[in-house]
Amino acid sequence: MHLLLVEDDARVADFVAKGLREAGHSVDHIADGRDGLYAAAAESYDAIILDRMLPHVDGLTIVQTMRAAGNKVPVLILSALGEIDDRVEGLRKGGDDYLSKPFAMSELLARVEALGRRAAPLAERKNLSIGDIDIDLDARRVRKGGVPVDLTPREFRILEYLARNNGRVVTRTMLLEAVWDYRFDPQTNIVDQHVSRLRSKIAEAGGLPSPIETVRGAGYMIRLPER
Amino acid sequence: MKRAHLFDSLTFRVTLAYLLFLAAAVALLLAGGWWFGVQAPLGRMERLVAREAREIAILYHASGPEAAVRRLELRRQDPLPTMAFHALIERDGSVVSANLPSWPAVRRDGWQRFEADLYRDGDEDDHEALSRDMLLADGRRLIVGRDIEAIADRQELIEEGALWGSLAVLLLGLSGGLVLSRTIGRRLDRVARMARTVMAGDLGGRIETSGTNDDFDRLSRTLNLMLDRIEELVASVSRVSDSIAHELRTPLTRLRADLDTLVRETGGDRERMLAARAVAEAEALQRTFDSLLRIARLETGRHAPAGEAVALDALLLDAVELYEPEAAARAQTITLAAEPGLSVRGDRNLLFQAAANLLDNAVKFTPHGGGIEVRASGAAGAAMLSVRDSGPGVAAEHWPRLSERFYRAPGSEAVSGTGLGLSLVGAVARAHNAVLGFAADASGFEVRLTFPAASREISST
Repeated sequence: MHLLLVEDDARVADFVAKGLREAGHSVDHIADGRDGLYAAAAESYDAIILDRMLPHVDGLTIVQTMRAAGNKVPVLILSALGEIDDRVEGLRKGGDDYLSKPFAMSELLARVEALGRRAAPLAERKNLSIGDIDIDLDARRVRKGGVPVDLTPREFRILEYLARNNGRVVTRTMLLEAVWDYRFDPQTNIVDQHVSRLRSKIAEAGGLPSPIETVRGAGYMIRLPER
Repeated sequence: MKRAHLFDSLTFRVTLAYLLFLAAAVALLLAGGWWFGVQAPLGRMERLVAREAREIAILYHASGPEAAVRRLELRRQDPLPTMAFHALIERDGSVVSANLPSWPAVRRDGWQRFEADLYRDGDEDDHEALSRDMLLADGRRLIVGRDIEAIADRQELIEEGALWGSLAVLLLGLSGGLVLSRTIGRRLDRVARMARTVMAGDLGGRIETSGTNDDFDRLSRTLNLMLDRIEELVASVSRVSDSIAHELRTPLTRLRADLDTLVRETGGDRERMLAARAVAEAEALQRTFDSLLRIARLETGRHAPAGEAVALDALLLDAVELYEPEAAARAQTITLAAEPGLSVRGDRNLLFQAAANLLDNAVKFTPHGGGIEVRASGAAGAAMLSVRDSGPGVAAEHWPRLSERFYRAPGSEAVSGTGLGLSLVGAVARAHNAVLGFAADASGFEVRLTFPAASREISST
């Protein structure tokens, strides 16, 4: 992906740019808000990573200006303000995702890649068939090798989210945000328990072993061929 | 708030007291008028008539009837101080001499007052006679009097004045009190309304002034200045916490970045392990500090809870579902008993966070195989949310400190935690006007959040 990074802190910017390049993306880095706004308007990017507090023009103003001009490039806002209100404000002003500092590179990478995917959305589908798993999105039922798997609504949503992001890492916070309808800070790694339950239910259905991989230090991933 | 009763109003009571004083003053005035206008002149007239009657009676007895009649005729022609009346009547009722149009048929001792209207050229002339009625030694009857029409008129005037005056005073006083207490009550209500708005977390509220520079305007301006000062202080606290957020997060971000790089690029397993541990530590540091900021924001009222109705049963169902796998991993069972239809006005995310923190504690402190009960019940508009566990609980003497930041009850050191979970619950509770409480018995320990009926409607008029 061709990415724009607007971040004024040199060390953070270096680290982010390096991590993104290692993951195979091309990155333009700009340290100033005004220049960032020009760059966003001048060139076409797959996604933009925008620090919220920038010299001259702040990140939220850049997003607002871009959206007002009809620019729909997905934007991830990076911010040292991590409260729920700040996040809501960031998303309302046109951000597509919001990540508060400090963050792990794996988290940023997973989110940027999910954003790039959002720019080219899957057509509304009724079924997802990956590997030997069939997910009926309408009836909210899952079969593995033809055998029905009895999942709770929450487990279904976890599986659906992982399957929709087939081939990409999904972090625990991404799962938490996508699958639970509340903004909260879980005290423990509560998501892991849900995923491990889902895994064992899928494994019980027989057939191939559970496709949900744990990506060390990052999150989870399903990597299955689509049928 | 309940509409205040009229008699609860100080202004109204003060007005009533004032009305009482006013009525006393008016009564005094009328009594003075009565005394000087009626009582005293009447007394003077009585003394005059008594003297005249006595003189004429003496003259009658001493000098004979003719002299007395002459004296009476003479007296009639001198209308000073007021018109003189008399009547000398024979024993059989025939008139010897009289200028009275009529008189009472039966004689009575003492003072008499009767109409003595005169008709002159067809005109009626109103008069009232104050008279003495005497029986003379020869059996004749002598009536001697003077006109007191002027005094009688005054008396009537004062009597009528007193009647209408007291009615008017009562009416004006009551309506005045009503208007006064309404007016002052409205101004006071403005102040009270604003105070409630501010208490609900909106520090930007100010009391309207009417622009007349009256005492209430001056009071309002003083209170507004106080609110300005409070807002300024809170804003500066917020600015500090914002800059803490920024100033600490930026170095933490760099630290994370460097440690991340170290984890990925270092050769040795041991170095990688140490770096990963450092990353975990930095994460824990950040979480602690995020929680602290969040509590601080809630407590300064800056994070005023959104006023949506949050259904407690659905919220608790989600929270229980969230912790169910965690509890199952410890062979614990969570039971949920939530009355349907209960809702609380507030912020669903914060309320969910509070429920999650309570469940997290319950799961952590309940031994393997224990039980956790989550309940929501309501009465009279109030709602109670409780989480009960079969763990060892906390001794009652430590309860008051449980929601203090970083406080960990003795005996809980072995369980991981920051000591901020219940503090956040406490802050969420306060932001919702709810009360955080504890209960314990032999079978377990219970944490309760009691939402008052008012939390369904934080501001009221």
